[in-house]
Amino acid sequence: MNTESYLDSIRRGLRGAMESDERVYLIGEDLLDPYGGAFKVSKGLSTEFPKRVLTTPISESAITGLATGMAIRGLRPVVEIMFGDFLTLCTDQLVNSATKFPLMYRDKVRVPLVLRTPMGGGRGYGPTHSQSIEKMFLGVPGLTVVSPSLAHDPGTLLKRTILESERPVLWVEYKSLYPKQLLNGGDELRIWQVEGEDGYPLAVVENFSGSDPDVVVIAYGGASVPLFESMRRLIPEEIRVRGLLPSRLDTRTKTPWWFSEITGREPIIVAEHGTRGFTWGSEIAAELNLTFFGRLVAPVRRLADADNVVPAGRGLEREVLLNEEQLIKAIVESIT
Amino acid sequence: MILIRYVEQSLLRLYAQGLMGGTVHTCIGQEGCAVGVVSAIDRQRDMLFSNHRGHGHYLAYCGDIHGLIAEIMGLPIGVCGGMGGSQHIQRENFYTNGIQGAGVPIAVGMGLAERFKGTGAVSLAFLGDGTFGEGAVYEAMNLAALWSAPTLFVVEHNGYAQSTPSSLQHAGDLSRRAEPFGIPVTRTEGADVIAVFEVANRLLGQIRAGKGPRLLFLDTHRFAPHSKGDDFRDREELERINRECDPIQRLAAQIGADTYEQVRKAAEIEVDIVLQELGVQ
Amino acid sequence: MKSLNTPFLGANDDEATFNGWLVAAGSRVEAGMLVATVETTKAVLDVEAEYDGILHPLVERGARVVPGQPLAILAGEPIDDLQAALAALSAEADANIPFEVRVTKKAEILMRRHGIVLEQLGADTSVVDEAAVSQFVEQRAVNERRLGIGHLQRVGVIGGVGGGGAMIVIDSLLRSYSQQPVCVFERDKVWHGRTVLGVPVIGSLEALSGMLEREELDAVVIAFNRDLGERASLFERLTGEGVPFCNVIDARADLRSLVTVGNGNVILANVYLGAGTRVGDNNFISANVFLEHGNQLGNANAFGPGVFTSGNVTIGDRVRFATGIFVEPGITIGDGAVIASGSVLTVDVPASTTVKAGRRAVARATASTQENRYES
Repeated sequence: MNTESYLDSIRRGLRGAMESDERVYLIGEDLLDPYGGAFKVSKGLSTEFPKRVLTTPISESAITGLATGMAIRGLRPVVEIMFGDFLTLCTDQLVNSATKFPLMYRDKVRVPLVLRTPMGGGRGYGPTHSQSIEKMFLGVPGLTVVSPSLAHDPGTLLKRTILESERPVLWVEYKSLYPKQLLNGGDELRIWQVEGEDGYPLAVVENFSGSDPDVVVIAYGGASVPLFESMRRLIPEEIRVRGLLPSRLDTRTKTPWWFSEITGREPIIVAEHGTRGFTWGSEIAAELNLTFFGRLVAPVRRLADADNVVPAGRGLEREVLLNEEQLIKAIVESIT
Repeated sequence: MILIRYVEQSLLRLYAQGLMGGTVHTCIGQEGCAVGVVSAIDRQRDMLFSNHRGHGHYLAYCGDIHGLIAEIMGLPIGVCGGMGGSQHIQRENFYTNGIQGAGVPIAVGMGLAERFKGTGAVSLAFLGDGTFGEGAVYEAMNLAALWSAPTLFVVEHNGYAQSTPSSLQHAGDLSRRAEPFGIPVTRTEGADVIAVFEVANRLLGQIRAGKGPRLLFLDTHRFAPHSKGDDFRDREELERINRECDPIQRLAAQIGADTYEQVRKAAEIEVDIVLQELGVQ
Repeated sequence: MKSLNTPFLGANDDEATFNGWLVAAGSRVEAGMLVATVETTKAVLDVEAEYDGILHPLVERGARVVPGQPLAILAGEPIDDLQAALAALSAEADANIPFEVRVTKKAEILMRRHGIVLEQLGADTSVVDEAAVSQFVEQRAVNERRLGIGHLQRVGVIGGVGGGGAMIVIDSLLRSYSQQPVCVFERDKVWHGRTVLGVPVIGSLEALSGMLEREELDAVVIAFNRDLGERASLFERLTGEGVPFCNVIDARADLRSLVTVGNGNVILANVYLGAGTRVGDNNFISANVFLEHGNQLGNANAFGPGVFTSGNVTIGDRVRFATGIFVEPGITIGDGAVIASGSVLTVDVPASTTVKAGRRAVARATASTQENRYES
């Protein structure tokens, strides 16, 4: 049985990609051993592949541009941006160059670039090192945004993404997931994967068996931690929750393929990290309303972080971030 | 050069006739830079990253008048199918982007990739003096020098960023910006195409020999506006640079009036044929 | 006697490695003394004795431990049986929790929804769960319908809640002098716990056999009429299992001489069945349908309101009539045909044929590719 942590899985994916393809380069700040990156994701890799792990100055914009240039010329660079908050510094390169080239040059130019970054709070890093800002990139044409949860196999997915994607991918890792064990069906939560047309599977997680759910919760990435915790706590309460966790955040397809897993007969909650406005969740809720109009038993509920900065103090931070208590409350309310 | 001049003049005319949308940034007056530098590269492997004022670079690279004009007119037969227009042109090893300075780190990355692959190719990044206002340029220069990227930075210093003179934008001496990074700078007159070619050739040789990035600083003049309707420069000054700094007049003096006239006629015919094919002549 | 527990490990770690004891087992320690350390991915944490006493270790170096897990027992005297001591400690902790009936959140929600209080359930266990509440709700619903009117046939209505079929069948049953509606079986759980004209919607057919066994129900009838194939197969299956069906015939329907009616039919108000008409099983005949003398009906047909047939018309199985249709005498309509609203049938209709209304109606085969053209 798989007892890998999220961090180990990501590292295994990186290592696997570097091992199977010499065109894969890691680029980012402080990646070299013995430090091995701010979150230790690249630990050991610079020792094993000394020529292909490039540690850089604090130049997120240039790193992204450089990697874009490398990708154009046939390499498969993987950039680590130390904190997701720093994506603002790469935005021009990502929005105006890397994603534009394949589209405006009509795939004559390929940009197999993977930009990895740890996102989210929960560790007391404070307002500029704890945000969830992936929503800013969800409407960028030509950009694939992926954020696997604890219910996925992030390493295998990352390896495949690095080796196979031909267009830029923003790969979001929630830092709250790093020390956690991946969900493997070994505890009271049942789990299975549904493969989709885009190669990024949907994980289905249930805290019951043998009947229909009372509530469906749709979430991704870091929200999987409070979701699974709330699902465990609701088992003795007999409240049956089905969690749907896409690994890719697609809001450009009108009806995401995994909507086939939804009937609309149960109340639906969309839960995510990041401030509440203009998010993946709001887009999913809108599409659910379009797709299931007239069949929904209740309006789609939405949960997210508070509309505030993420405070450093642990107690304050907990008040701002989506947590299991809020989820439990919303789940119970939705069927009452 | 003469061909570039004629294409640019034709584009300005087509623009005035309302036959193309968006904007057109011409390089009239700067043809010597484009032709001098691009003549020195190895077209099979070297890579060019041009900018918003890239028609001259493109024509010097491949001479594809038809693809360029059609692209700027937004036609499906344009070199990028009409997706890119004036500022976003790509063909083989030639790339462009309309964002100031964004192409500089990308060019460094392209050069590094080729170095890792061992092809011996050099990447060229074209930038104007206005682009020195962008931080990405300095980040890229630092990394290029640090990692010894095979990159030639080509600065076309025309003294203006759109409508604002360089003196209102930059403190210090632009020509010395790269030196603290350990990137040697060579400064020369952009109007003298032969000189530009010779210097570029020498610098490319040094880069190919593994000596790291170089910067070629070309003093030049833009005779036409940045784009349509934003030229507020002094008339007398414009007349002076037209008289004294025209790379084509200088070339004509070097190759003789007869040869010049022959080349001019040939260029005119070539462009006119394309314009006729596109139905705009 | 107290236990010495693993301390809080910080927000990043749920588990730690025990680094071993710094004092010998069986030695006497004092409160505040550093006795061991545990190591997380980020830090090494001290474990201090919280009380004075003799240390009796429960874990050894290298063990994986979680916060709150007992690492050792501190006691005034040496302990022989550590496991027994540990059990005694945990029993002591449990004893401090007052006994009460635990109601699961789901049970609580259902109780609130159905207006039930805990005393009504007569709970004799320590946990009230969903099953207990659901059983009570079903029992109560059935009981309420049966109160004092036990001599009437007790009818269970199957399906048709969403489409309105259940409502019109129950409406008829409520005016009946010989029958009474007891409950509605509905697959779509959205309706569970609600009522149709006061009759409770209790859940899927799984409950049916138990209710028949307990003699809470006498017969059933099918109220849905959209999917005639499903109507037919369900009737067949339940009949095969021995489930008794009944006809629901509205008090204001007019059945003339020598009319025979099979089983499981629904015949609503103002229906006229002319002399000698024979009705098979499991048909659904809406209000104001007029079938003249000598009509022969098969099984599982559905009639919308206002279908008029002349004499001696033969209708097969699973024929769907929409609304406002006229059929000339002696016509034969094959199995599975669909007749659109406003049609006027002057010629026979083969099986599996759709007849569209219009001056030159086109009948298009639904089961085969054959195309037939009909004047109507």
